[in-house]
Amino acid sequence: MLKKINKFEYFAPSTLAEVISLLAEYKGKAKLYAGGTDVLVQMKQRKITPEYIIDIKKIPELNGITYSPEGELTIGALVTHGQFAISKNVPEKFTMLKEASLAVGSVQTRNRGTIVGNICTSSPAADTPPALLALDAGLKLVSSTGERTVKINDFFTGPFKNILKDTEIITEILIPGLPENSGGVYLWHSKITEEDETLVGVGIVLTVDNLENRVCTNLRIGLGSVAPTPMRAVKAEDFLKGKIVDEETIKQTAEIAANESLPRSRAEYRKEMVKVQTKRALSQALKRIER
Amino acid sequence: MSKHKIVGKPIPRYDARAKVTGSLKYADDFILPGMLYGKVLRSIYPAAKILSIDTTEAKRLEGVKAVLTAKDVPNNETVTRFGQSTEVGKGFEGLYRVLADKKVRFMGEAVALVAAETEEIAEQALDLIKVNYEPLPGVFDPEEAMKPGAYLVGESGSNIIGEFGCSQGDVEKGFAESDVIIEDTYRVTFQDHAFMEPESGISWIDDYGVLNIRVSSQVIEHFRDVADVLGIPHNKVRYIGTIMGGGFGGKEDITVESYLALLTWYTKKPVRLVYNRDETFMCHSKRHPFVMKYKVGAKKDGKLVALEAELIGDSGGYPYLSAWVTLYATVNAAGPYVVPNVKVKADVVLTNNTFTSANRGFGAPQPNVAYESIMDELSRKLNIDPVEMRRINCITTGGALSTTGQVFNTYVAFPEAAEKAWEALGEPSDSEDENIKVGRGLAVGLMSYGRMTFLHDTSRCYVKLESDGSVLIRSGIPDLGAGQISLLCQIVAEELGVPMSKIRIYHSDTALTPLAGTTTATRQCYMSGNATLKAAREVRSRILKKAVEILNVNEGNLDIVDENVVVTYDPSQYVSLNKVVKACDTAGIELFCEAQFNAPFTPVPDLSNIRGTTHPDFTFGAQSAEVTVDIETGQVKVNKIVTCYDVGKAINKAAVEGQMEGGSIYGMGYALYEDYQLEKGVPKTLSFAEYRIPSSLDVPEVETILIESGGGLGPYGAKGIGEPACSIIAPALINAVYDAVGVRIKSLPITPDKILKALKEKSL
Repeated sequence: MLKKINKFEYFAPSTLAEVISLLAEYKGKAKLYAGGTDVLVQMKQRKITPEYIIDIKKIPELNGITYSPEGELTIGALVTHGQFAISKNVPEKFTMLKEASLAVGSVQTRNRGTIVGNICTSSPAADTPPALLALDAGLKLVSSTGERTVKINDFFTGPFKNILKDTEIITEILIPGLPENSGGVYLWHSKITEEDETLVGVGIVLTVDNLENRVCTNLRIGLGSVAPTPMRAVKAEDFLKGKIVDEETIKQTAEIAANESLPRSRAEYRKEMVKVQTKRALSQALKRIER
Repeated sequence: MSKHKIVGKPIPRYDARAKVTGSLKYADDFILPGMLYGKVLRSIYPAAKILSIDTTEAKRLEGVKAVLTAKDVPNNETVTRFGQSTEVGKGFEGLYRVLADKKVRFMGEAVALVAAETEEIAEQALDLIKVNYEPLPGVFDPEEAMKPGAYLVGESGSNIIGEFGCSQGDVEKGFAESDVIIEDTYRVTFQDHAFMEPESGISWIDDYGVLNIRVSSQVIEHFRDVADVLGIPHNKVRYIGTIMGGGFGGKEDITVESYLALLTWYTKKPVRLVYNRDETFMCHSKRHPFVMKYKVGAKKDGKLVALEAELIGDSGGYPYLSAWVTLYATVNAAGPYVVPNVKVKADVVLTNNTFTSANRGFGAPQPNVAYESIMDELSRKLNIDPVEMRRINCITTGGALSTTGQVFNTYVAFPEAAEKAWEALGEPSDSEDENIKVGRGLAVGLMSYGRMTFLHDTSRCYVKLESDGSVLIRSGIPDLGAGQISLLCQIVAEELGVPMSKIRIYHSDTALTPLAGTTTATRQCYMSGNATLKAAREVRSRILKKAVEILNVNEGNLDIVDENVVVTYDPSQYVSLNKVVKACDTAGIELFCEAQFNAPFTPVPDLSNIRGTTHPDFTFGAQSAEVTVDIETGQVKVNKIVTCYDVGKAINKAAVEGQMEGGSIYGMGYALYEDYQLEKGVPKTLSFAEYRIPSSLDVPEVETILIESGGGLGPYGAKGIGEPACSIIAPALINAVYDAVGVRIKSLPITPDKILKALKEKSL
């Protein structure tokens, strides 16, 4: 049963240095707070009962979307889904992450919830992780003892579980540039109604040698909501690499992706949808390269 | 009467501004000094023996003022009522148990109550109550529960709590004469009311020692039931009903009131109790799931010959209104069709699921899903257009229900409604995507308005014209958001020729307003509308009689328009209403009236073969829909819904259209999305994240078509629309999906998973 939120002490530091020192001090008893769309619900459900809340919203350096001359996109910890979806700093080749941001919750939760928060909650059904997996994103983790950068592919360890230590904060997401002739797409399939949790999310970045041959030189497929964690469909990726991308190979790739997914509830239907959505996403990705 | 001044117009509702600006006070907006917070401890098993309850530690916690269990309730077991003053008997009044005693019948059943100084302390106290349960196997499928030797949910020797039937002709002979027979089983599931406002209330004892309960309730007559629970006289309990944030039948049974009453009675302090969202999902009734076995036979020319239906309803852990709902389903089982040979049998059965009771439609939508799916199948088998199929078989004016033989002497809107609903779909949409198929479906139906006639229903209303020309109405009418109080104001505005802004209504207070009966059964427009009309016309007639003296014109030539009594054939001759009121006051003429309206009364029918009139009247309608189905994903998108009903007379056109649009979406959610899921009695969908209802993104264009035959029994010939409005759309959507992809979904909701599975089976 839902309960009143437990009593806690509230901090609103204005620098990152303060955040990491508070995290080091209240190890395990503190919870970082940005949009609050997951934290507050978990507190009402008494899934977490933090003694300290560290609100990071007042730290300007965590809020920014930058595109470097080298083609790399950096997204700060405070960037909300809504803010990202309408940002003019995001070049068109990263549209798929906008699509994933728009698949999250409702207008209200998109305008409060952050992309980094979405990653931290580590729900198997989250929308941005499959897109970020396909984009081969990195995460910058900072603590009082130093910082490290990990690939998002190595971040999730189980449903609502990840490698983030209780002394660490994710300060930004780093998305490497895409090679020539690449196209990305995120497609999602809702559970029941239009505005609903994701039943199957498929993020794809497809690269071909050139538009004449259409030989797949690289492919990354991120799947959401079909396994204990967001996952890469590695077998499907390997299958298509080196092959000409056409209707038949797309179909086969989609089938392999469906077979390597590991859904639990509504399993038969979910697998079928991995197939359908992977197929559709690959065709659309190819169209985007052509455009 | 001459032509209407305000009746029939789409006017802003009496309560609209307060709702839009947020100034309206709902039941949980009230606080009182020294108020305590109530909380309910709920069973963690769907079926269990309670071996012991230890409240010692909870009582010891600082700030806790009361911890109550079954042994503290003066009358823990009474009967379920819904406001009726007649005792019907025959099993209709089932057991109402305030707190679980010895045995638990469903998960979430109330076991103990706490009142404490803060909500946090009350929650803590719940954690300190030690209940020693012995889990029992339970039974969760009504068909299983009916079998001999099944686990017994309650204390009696059988789980069956209601058996109904009706028949005419000879079905065996009918099937023998049929050219085509369809036999199938249809299943519909639990539906939640999903009202926005959770169950809420506040209670206190006033200066006279009367227990006051301010509560969100559709039935303020429960003050009697609460008094019975406490064992005190009925006049020592007062209900003050607040305007509800939705009810849909879910606030028809007692919700928080008995708990509030007990906690205030024991502590002598004000107590507030508001359910959490997960608590409301788990602890109020749901729409009855039904298993419906149907067999229907027809001739080659489409004419229906025989219909046999066997319905089994799931009552969940307690009876509540299950018997009544099942009676409605029995009466509705053959729909609005002429069928010479009919046999219906309906049972309703206890299980250890969440209890079921009233939900908008009250037993009408379930059989509608079955018989309209079959009608669609018949029309395809016989290659007869769906509208023609209804033209051939629907009852018309002067006809009778094939289940009970109840005769309709006023206009029956068939085939008109079916023709209009189908026509309004317009040209079919195109699909450029080969995976997206377009389909269209039609369904017709009927539902009663007004209570069962053997309940001997009445409503009262008081209307007073003040000496300054303003008007006061007092009516016990509860307003659940459908415009009930606004409607009464509009009727008085029409009759007394005053603007809505000069009318003030006091409503739903058992101590101060004449009882108007329940806001259920789509009865308020009909019952309280008529009571109000009667009272207003009496006051009007006294005004006109006085004006006759002033203007020297026959009463028949006078009308009250814009606060003037005018001569209808010469509007330059008039006298102000104010002047007439003053003349009446001077002459000692009473400008108030309390009037009572009685529905037709009938005896209690033979339940094994229900014949004759069971309801005052029915509302007839048709709905159509266009959908697209993605054959690769099974996803359904609704493009358009048409809703067409004979509403008799739309008193407030905007409100009627609102009911028809809202009803369509309520039914669309039932058809496509809503599924209150239980696993062995444990509810799995306890939030709006899991229990999905349509959002604005799912809602298609809804076209409303009003037929205004004037044939209703309500004021100005109005019929009721609140519940009929949601009772027909589900099969229209089933039929549209069939039209699109050729598979028929026979269990609600119509999920993409089911469609895809059916498509695969079909292609094998």
